[in-house]
Amino acid sequence: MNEMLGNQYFLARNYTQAEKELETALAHKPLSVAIKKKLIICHIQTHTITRAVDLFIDVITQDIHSIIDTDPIFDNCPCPQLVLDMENTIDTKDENERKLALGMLWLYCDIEPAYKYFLSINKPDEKVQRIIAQLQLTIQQLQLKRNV
Amino acid sequence: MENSFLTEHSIGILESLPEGVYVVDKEFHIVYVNKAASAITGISRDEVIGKICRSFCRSERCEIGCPITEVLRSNKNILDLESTLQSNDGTIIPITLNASLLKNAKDEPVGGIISFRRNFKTDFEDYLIRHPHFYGIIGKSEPMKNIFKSIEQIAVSDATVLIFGETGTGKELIADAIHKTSKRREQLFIKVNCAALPDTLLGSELFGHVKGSFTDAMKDRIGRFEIADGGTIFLDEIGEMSLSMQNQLLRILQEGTFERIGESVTRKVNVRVIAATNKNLVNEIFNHRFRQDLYYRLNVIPIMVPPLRERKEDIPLLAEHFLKKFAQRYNKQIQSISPQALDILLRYEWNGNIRELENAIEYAFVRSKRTDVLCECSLPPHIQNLERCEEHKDIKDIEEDHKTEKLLSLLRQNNWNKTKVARLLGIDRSTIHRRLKDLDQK
Repeated sequence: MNEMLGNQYFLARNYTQAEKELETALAHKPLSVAIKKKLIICHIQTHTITRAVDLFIDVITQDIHSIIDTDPIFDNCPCPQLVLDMENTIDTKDENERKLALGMLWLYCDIEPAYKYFLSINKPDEKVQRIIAQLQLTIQQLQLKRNV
Repeated sequence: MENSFLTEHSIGILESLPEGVYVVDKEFHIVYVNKAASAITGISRDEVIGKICRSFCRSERCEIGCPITEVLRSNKNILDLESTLQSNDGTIIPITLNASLLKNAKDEPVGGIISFRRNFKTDFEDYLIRHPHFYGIIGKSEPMKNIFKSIEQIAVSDATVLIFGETGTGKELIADAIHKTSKRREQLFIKVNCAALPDTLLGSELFGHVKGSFTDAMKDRIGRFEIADGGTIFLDEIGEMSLSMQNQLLRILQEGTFERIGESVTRKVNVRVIAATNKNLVNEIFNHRFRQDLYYRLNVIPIMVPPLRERKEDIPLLAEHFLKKFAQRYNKQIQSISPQALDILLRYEWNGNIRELENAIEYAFVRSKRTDVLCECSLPPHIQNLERCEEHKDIKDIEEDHKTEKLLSLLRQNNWNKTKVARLLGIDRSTIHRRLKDLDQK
């Protein structure tokens, strides 16, 4: 039940419930990129950023295009709206945490701003450095593809 | 066809059905729509295949309880649920639907199927679909529709009505609607709150008095029953009436006669009585606080008004109504409620019913910093707490929340009178101001 119910909560933008159901679903299907993609957004929204980052690294290592190729309409992706809200809201959260969240959310919409947000993180730790390296590589690959 | 879990054979069967059928995958993307569904809605399959299901059904249920989600939650199929869809041109189509899950060999849900047929309703039901307001009462839920039907049915009658319902459920509006649909609608509708006055004053209020009949009776005064002659009187909180007043009311109900206080002239009136209570009158009879014969006189047509928690599907309509009301009052342009805020409103228990919902929306409206949408962060903290209950909090935070909660609760109970609440809590009024200011900043 959990995955489908989690999907419905996610559609209804009920991130707390979606997170609960999808985490259970992920325990049964630990390789599911579709579940992880949604969970990243849920964890950002519920301020469990460390878990979001771990899942994010998993997905971009496994298949970064599953995030980059997100279709905001077909996938009913909330990220464009979330990014808009977050960028226009004065947040009391830790600045690095905010940049991490925005970097992750932007990747669902556009890789370039996502990359810039990760680059702007002050004293990036090993995880952030891994993300930056992966994004850098993908940007280069995309540019090569465009040139061809 | 467009999906992997419907075989050609099963599609053939679904295509031949007169009922509309659509199938969604586990991501709620539409994977199949049959011919009948397309004909009923006027939406072609090519337009919706692959899209999120709400782009096809655009149903009231999408917001208040998707049937497939209900099946997922309860693990029980839904049968004969009344709902609506929207046609291509936005016309509301009343339907009855069934919902169930599609499962794989491991018994995991991989999708859902909804079948529906169009309802050809009566004029009155059609009216209700088009108009969520029935004489100012807002609601499209089944219990409310039943109440509206009862009101229509008793419109020709002069029988006494007894309305039961928790405080804040809108009993007075029901009484108002009963009067407005009755043949007495051109006559006066008089309202009396039986709990608001002490016994002696209530007697004078209802039946009138003559000069000198008691200390403050400086001149003759006509009572509410005489004023309402030919019309309707609404006796709210009838359960609070003393036994001696109940005797006099019984007489007026039986014979239509009474005397003004201090006068021996018997007067006769023709008044329809509608009474309301939030008490269990059967218990009151058992405890000798309410006359059994009066109960039977009043309870000719009983109407039970459900508490808001039993008709949560009306919350979006009510919230929208209050939003419009406060937009006018506070001259703000907030026009909608965010899905997250609505979700919180739908999950809250609303023990204070519609009145509590109205207060919560007003609170959110006043506190909202956004000008376009009412978001969950502006809802009263005690309602938001429901969302945050899974957050980790240390003991200091919990104590602080508890104090804030108590303060806000007292303020609500005392109509936001800070002086009164400060006295009740034994603190200075400025402390309350400071706490509210802190709260606002948070």
